[in-house]
Amino acid sequence: MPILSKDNTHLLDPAFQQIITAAAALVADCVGAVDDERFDEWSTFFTDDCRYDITTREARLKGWPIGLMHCAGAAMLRDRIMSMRHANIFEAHHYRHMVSATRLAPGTNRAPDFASGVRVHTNFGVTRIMANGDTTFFGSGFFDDLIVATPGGLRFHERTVVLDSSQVDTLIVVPF
Amino acid sequence: MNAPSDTGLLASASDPAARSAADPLLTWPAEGLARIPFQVYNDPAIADAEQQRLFRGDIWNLICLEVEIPQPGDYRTNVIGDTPVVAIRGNDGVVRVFVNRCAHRGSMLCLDKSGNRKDFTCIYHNWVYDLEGSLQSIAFRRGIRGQGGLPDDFDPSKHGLKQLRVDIIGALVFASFSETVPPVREWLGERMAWNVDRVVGRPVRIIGGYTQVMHNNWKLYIENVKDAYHAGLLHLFFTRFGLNRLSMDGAVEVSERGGHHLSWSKMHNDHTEGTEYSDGKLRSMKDFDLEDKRLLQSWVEHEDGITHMIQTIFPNVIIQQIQNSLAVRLLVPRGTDECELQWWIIGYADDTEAQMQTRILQSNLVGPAGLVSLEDGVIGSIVQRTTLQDPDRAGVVEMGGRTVESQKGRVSETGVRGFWQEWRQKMGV
Ligand code: FES
Ligand SMILES: [Fe+2]
Repeated sequence: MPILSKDNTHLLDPAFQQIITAAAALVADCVGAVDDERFDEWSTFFTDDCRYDITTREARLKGWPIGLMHCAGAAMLRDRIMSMRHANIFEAHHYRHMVSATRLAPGTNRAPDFASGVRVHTNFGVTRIMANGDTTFFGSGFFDDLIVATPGGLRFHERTVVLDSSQVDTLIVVPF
Repeated sequence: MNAPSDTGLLASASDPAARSAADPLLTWPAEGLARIPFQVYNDPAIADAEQQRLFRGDIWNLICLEVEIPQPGDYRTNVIGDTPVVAIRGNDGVVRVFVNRCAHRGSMLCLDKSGNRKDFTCIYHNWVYDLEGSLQSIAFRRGIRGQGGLPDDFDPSKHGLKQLRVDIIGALVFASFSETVPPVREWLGERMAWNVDRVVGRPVRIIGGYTQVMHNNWKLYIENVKDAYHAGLLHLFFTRFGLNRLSMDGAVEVSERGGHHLSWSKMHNDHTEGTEYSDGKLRSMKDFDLEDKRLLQSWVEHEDGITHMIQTIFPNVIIQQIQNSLAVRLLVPRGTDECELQWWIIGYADDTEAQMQTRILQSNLVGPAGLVSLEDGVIGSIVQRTTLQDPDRAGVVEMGGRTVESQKGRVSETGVRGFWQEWRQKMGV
């Protein structure tokens, strides 16, 4: 189990590095599944009783319980994908995420340990590419993730996608 | 308090879009309200004229919810059309609305969306106004050592902030440039005011909010909201789960002048037998099923049994009750081909925890990521693009006839015709 120091020396602790590297890899694999449109895989990055929210910086500051999307459990994630594929009408597009290094969430004061859950933050920027090639910067923000070890490997138990802007262009149908 | 007067920036508001008699702003098709000329979505002169004739004309504009400014000094900025305004609660507890602009040289006074202030101090040259809009102090009014400063006859009482009329109904703060528009309740009429009271007539709590930017003329979105016909067709999510089908008991009601509307239905009174829904012919009945049905759990919030109620207040306010998902929306034009939709997601101050959880789950149905409504964010732009080069072609609006009146059943575009009836009257076309 890594130790957590006040003077950053834990950054050199291989046990700590192993945890951060694993968390970063999970974050990268999950956005890779979204960007490659492997949507059937997307929900498998989450625990069955996960919580997934897309919200905004403003909503967090104001303490609003409602953001842009709220899924309680992996079944709702799958329902989102099904609705996207079979119900919703929109112009075809895909995303490309640019993600930052993954860091321990501020305020973490316990040695990180996947058995009890590790909370990490990762910044992202997302471009949206329409079928005709029109590319726009769709949004920036950060993932606020709680990652846990399960018999099936590491999973997101909580993911809050915090968008920097409260302004959304047109619609969100592809998850972040 | 001085009667704050405008400095002339607004006075003698000549109509920039007025064209000569030989070149009218717009010639409406001979078919009347059964046609909508595409020019209304693309012509910059019409967009300009709307600023004066509509948004500064005889209407009420939604500014904010009163709960956003509970204490003296609390303010909330917004826009009326293109004009920045600020609503602020005075030390006397009264809510006032001012054009958010310094009377000196026009700098914006409040830059933040909301906050609290003791006075309005302009950042540019430090002129100070009190919360009633009166000019209180002028930096270096007497100059320095006899040099500079304002002329002796300069009268600060003539240089207050431009104040608008304010009226509050339920949770909603409205303002108007007009001296003649009747008070909001009267302007709405009894039936329209009934639903405002029904949804926001008791203490509300803001539980979410965002802005949706759409790439279409603002009127295409308002038409969409008033178009009860599309709701059960474009939005599969609604119809598949029986949330709002055109076969349910319901109605479209329009106000006397046509511009306000109500569209409602009762999900527990549905009769699909013998309709195109039961034949399975419509795209919107294609089979699919949710794994987790908690999103669809609701309680009947009103004794009237109406589970779905959409109201528009002319020209650009929407009050939404989709089961237990409640919202107020304000649509703001951004030129001819873009608009922004501001959303206030609300609950009531006395909601139980269980009711709040239901509202949170149902919030998935609405907004830019709404399973039901995300299509509405893009359909306007899909129309806009086809209308650009054909200003003299027109949309056909004959569902439910060619006139404007309240109708039972919702296979109707009467609400759309009603909007254009009042729009034409206000715009003089
Ligand atoms: S513009 Fe406000 S003080 Fe000069
Ligand atoms: Fe719609």
